[in-house]
Amino acid sequence: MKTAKQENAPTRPNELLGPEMSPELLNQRVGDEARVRARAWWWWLALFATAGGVFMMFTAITWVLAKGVGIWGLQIPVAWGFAIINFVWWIGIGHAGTFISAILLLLQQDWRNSINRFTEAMTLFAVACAGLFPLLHLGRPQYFYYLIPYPNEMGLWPQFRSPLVWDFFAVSTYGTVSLIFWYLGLVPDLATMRDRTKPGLRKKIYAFFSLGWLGRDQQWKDYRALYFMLAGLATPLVISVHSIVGLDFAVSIVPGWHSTVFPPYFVAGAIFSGFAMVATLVIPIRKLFKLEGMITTRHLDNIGKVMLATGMMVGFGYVSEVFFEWYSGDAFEMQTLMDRLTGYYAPVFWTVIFCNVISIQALWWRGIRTNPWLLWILAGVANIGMWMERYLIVVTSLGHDYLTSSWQDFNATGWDWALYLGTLCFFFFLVVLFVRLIPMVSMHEIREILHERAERGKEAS
Amino acid sequence: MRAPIPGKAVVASFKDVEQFEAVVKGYVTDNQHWSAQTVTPHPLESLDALTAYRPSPIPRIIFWAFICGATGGYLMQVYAMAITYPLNVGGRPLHSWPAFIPITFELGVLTAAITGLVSWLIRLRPRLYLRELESAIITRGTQDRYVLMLVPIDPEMKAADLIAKEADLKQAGAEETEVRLWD
Repeated sequence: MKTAKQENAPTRPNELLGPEMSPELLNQRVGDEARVRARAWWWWLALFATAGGVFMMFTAITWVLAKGVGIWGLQIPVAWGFAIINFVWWIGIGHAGTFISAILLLLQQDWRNSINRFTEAMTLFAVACAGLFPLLHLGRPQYFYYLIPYPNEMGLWPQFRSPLVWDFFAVSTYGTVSLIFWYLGLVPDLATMRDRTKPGLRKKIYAFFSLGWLGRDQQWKDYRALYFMLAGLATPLVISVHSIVGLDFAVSIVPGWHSTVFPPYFVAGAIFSGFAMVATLVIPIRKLFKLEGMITTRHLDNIGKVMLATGMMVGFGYVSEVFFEWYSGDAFEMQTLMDRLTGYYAPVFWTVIFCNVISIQALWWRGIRTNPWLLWILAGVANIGMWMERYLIVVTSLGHDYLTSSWQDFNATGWDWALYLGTLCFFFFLVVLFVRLIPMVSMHEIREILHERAERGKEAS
Repeated sequence: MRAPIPGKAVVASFKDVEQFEAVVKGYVTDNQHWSAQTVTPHPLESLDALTAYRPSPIPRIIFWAFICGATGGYLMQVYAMAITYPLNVGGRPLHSWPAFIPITFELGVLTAAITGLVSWLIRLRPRLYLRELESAIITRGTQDRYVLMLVPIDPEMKAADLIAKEADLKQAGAEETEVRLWD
C-alpha cells in the first residue's frame, strides 16, 4: 500500500504531535486562528445548511405534538419504529466520547488528548438528539415526569423492574456526567482564552465560564483528583448505559431479542459507531482548521484500529445471534432468522453485513487507516451500517412475533425521515457552533504531552 | 491550603521548566521570608515533590457520595416496590434485588459526580475577577510560561528588598520579572 506516503500531514506516522508543535503554536492554532478560520464562507454555508435541517426538525416535532405519533410509520406490532432505532443509534455515537475521555485516560493513552474535546462535545450533542426520541415516542410527552420517582397524590411509582425505567436513569446520569466531564476539561482552556482575548464582551464571557481559574499548584491537584475520579466513574457508566439499552431488548421475550449476547454486543456496536462518527468529524475539521500537527496520522491509525477491533466484536455478535437462533430450535426464532436472511428485510441484513463486517476488513492495512479520505469513507459506511443494524433489530423482531395473524411489515413515513434527518442536522449544527466558539482541542493536555516530549528529548541528549 | 491574596509580590516567568523547578525548590525549602505560589499552564508533577504535597480530599468525598447515593437509590426502590406499592406479578418476590442493581449503580454515579463537582467548586471558590490577571506576566502562566509569585510573609517588607529579589530571580534565569503592588 502506497497510500501512507500520499498523506500530506507534516509528521512521520508514529509521531503523536507534529515536530513543529510548541506551546506558543498550540495557543495560536487552537486559541486564535481557529476563530478566524471559522469566519470563512464554508463555515457560514455549513451553519445555514444545518440550520435549515434544524428548522425541519422543529417542524417535525411540532407536527408530532399536534397530531400524535400516528403520523409516524408505527403500527401494532411494530410500535417502536424509528424512535427507538434513532435513540439507540444516537446513544451509541455518544459512547466513543466517553470511551476516549475516560477509559483511554485511565489506560494512559496519550493520543486521546488531541481528540477528547471533540468527542466529548460529540457525546453531549448525540445524547441531546437521543433523548428527544423516547420523549416524543411517549405520545404524551407532557407527562414525561411520571418517569421520575417522586411522592405523588396518586401513590404511584415508576416500575423499577422495567429496563425502560433503567434507561431513563442511565441516560440522564450519562448526560449529566458527560456534561460535567466536558466542562471540567474546558475550564483551564477557557482561562487561556480569557487571557488571550482583548477586553470586551468575549473576554467577559470567557472570564465567567473559566470560574477564575489561574493554574495554581493546589488548583491543579484538586482538578486532577476530580478529573481522574470522574473518569473512574464514567468507565463503568459507559458500559452500563448501552448494556441497559441492550437489556431493553434482551429482557423481553420477542424472537430475535431474547439473548444474553445483547449487552456486550450493544456496547461494542456503540463504540464502533462512535469511532466512525469521530472519524467523520475529525478528518474534515483537521484539514479545515490546519490541525494536522495535533491530530496526526497516528491518531487516524488508532481510530482505524479501534474501529476494526470493535467492528470485529460486532461481527462476532452477528455470528452468535445467528447461531443461537438456530440452536434454540424454536420455530419463531428460526422464522425471524430466515426473515432476515431471505425475507422482506434481506437487503437491509446484507447491507449491514457489508458495511459492518466486510468493508472494515480494509482497515487491516495501515495504508488505508492512515489515508484520511479512505478512512472517512469507511467511517461513513460504518455509520450507515450501524443505523441499519438497529433498524434490523427493532423492526424485524417486532414485525414477526409469536402471533402470526398480527404480522406486519414496517414502512417509515416522511415524518419519520424528517425527524431523523432533522436531528442529524441539529447534531452537525451544534458541531459547527462548537468549532467556532470553544477551543476544540484540549490545550492544557497537549501542553503536557509537549512537556513530556521535551523531557524525553533532554534525557536522550 | 489556600494561598493568601497577595498585597505585593515579586513575579517571574520562566520558559525553561528545569530552571523554574530549581528556583521553586529554593523557596519552598526556605520559606521564612517568602511564600512561593506557582501558576503553570499544565499540571507539573514535579511540584508535588517540591511543595508540601497534600492530597486532595475530593476522592474521599466522591467515594462516600457514591455509597450514599447507591444506598439511597436501593432503599428507594425497595420502599416503592415492596412496601408502599406492592404489586404481585405471578407470585414473584417483591424484593427482587437483581432488578434493582442498575438504578442503584446509576444513582450512585450521579450522586458521586454531582457531589464531586460541588466540592471542587467550593474549593476553587469561583470568582469573576482576579487581581493577578492585571499582570501580563502572570497571565502567561495560563498559556505558555511557568510563573512564580513570591509573596513576602512580612507585609511591611521594604521596596528595596522586593527589587533585590527581582534581580535574584532574573539572575536565576527568569525571562520576565516585575514587582507587583496591589492596593
